Amino acid sequence: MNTTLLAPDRIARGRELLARVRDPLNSVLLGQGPMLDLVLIALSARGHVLLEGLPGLGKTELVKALGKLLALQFRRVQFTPDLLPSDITGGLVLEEAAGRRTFTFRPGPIFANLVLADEINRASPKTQSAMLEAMQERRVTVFGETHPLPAPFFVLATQNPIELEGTYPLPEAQLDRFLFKVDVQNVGADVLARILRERRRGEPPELAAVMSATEMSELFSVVDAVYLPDAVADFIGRLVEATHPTSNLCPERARAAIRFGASPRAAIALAEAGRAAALLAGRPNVDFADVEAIAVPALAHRLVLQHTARLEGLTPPQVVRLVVDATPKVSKPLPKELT
Amino acid sequence: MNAVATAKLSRLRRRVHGALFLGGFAEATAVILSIAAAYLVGSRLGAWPNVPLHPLWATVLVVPCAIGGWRAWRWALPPMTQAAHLDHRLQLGGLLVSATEADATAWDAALTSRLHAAQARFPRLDLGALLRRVALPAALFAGVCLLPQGTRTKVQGNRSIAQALVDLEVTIELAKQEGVLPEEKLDELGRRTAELQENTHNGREATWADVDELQARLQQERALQQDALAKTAHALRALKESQRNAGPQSKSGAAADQQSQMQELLQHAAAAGLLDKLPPNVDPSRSAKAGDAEAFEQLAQALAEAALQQAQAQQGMPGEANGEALEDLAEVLRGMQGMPGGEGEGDPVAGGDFPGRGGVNRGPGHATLELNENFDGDTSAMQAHKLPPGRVLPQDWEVMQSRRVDPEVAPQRNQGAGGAVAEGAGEAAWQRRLSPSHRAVVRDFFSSKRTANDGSTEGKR
Repeated sequence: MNTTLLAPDRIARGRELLARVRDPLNSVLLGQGPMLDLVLIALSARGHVLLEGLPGLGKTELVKALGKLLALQFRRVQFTPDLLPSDITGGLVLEEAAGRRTFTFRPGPIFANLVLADEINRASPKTQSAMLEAMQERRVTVFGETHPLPAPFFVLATQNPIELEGTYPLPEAQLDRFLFKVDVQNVGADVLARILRERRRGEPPELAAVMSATEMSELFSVVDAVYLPDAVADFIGRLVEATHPTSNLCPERARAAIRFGASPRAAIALAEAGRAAALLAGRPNVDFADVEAIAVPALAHRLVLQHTARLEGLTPPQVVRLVVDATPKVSKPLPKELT
Repeated sequence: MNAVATAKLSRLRRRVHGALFLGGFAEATAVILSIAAAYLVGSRLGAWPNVPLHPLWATVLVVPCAIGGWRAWRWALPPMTQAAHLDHRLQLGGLLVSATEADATAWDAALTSRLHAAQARFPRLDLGALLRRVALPAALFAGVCLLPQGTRTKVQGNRSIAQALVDLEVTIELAKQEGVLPEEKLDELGRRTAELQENTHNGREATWADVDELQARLQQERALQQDALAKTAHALRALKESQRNAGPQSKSGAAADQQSQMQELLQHAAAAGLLDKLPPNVDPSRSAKAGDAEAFEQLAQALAEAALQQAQAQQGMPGEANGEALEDLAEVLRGMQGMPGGEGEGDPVAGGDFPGRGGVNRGPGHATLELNENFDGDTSAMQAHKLPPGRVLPQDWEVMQSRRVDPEVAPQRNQGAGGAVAEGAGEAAWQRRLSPSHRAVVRDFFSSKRTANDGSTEGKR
């Protein structure tokens, strides 16, 4: 045995670090516990998150709160149709120093630890594409010169699903770079009443930084040390393969609905996010349940559905659930003679 | 991995193997029972021979055992897969499956307590499902076993042999009724035939050699009988000739010869079984005395009549017989009786089932009266019934006649080139199937080669 499971005390330490962020977040966004867990899992796995929801649900507030809590350098970019790539990545400016004029690179707002790409689908595809290299490789290349982004680097983007005029749907390549796409759900009447009771003008409580850079590195190291058993890795592999309509593992209804399945990046995302989910649950290893819990936010935005499926009213999360339900946890079943 | 987890995994492995074995065993048993039930139904219906129960049939259990063993070996789950199943089933959160791959010493206590807590969810053998798989075929098999034997005569084994035995039985019965062969011989042959039939019914083997032997013995008895009849006829003729030549004042030497001939006649008649068939008023011992011409004439007449009846009965019996010899013998006997068509004198003998002698067809002489569609009476009882192939006679039926008939050829509708031709449209035709050799001849007849060589046939097409 080459690997040792994390000791219970290290798991407890990891959970404690996560709880430090989760509890204040819960106080900022009331009644959004599951969504906050997903965001926290994505951050622990060092992945980017696309938040999709109606206006006023607290998407921007969430990202702002995260920036404060994690004591990270936070930048906000409001995406508009006239935004240019250099407005995000930065560019060369002519500067005069010591009687000489030289082009100097001036970093854009993307050079931060936590970038809020607000209403990302309002920017043109050209500008959206400027994010590709940054999100995947965590660096920016301008005029042939590559500039590394600060670590950690997270992009939390928001988009409004109902305003389609003047928007540009995100290309599949960029969608694939988001670890999760989280649907921000509306809250119930009781939560609304609580907001009205506890907050003046809807202002969230003041937040202070709860985690240092060192502690964040520690959290990441704990997440990385969470064990992924072979059986679960096999389940993830079969799950991603089952999203492809050409695969035998794909269930019949999903096969008719899916045009293109998830990429290998989806499998990596499931594994990494599964580790974070296991830590959040206090486990030293990834379980099948962790993968099931994150399958929809991790896979739904990576599937390209057939137009007929959309006409039938099938949504990507529904198709992912079909695939998850049809994929057995263990490849070979127990004999049917056993109850 | 800790001891508790190892023990649980071993237990699961045993259960998986046991379940696979029992599942294969049950499925194979169900299949075997279904096949056996189907076979029993077939044997009840007479399609297949009956297989008696035998202790060796228990060896059939080797097949389910082998299939169960093969299934347990072929579908055995790898240890990692079993661990994953157990982990998932007991909701251990992946701890067990991780413990089998990595060092989980720090989590031993948690793993042990969760294993104990989840004891109730440990996979169990579903004996009910296993029994349900076998129950229906077993019930079917038991039900078929309990079914009574069918009302049909059960002819099993080699159907040709069984049919030959039935034919033989019918022949023996007919011979008994007609009295053409000695009864003790027929009884012996009948017993042997019944024994072979019983063997066939019980599925034991009966060979054609047995049937051939019986048929040969029957044939031999008939030949002996025929020979005795012929000798009787010749002795009778010789004695009559001798008496005619001697006249009323015969000398003592001639009388002694006649006495000797009479003894010889009586011996042959006894060998042919004719003495038992003489009318009560005919006493052979009185007739045998010399000088009683009236008694002798009466005896000769009775013997000739009995011999003729037996000869004709032999002719009417199925099986091989020397028909010409019997016909000659009948002619000789008719001559001695003076019957019509014969060369001697005497009154026609009444009775018998022959045309002109009170048979069913009651025509004068040999002109038979056919009870065909021109006959006004009810002839339904005389209708011939065709039995299905392989079907033996029902017990309440009686064999009256058996004969060879031409095989039935199923007529086939002539199909047009474009598909089926409408019936009754004037285009439908019926044809018989041609054998390959005939087909070749027809093809040759219509071939272009023949057309080119023989212009005379062109106009006939």
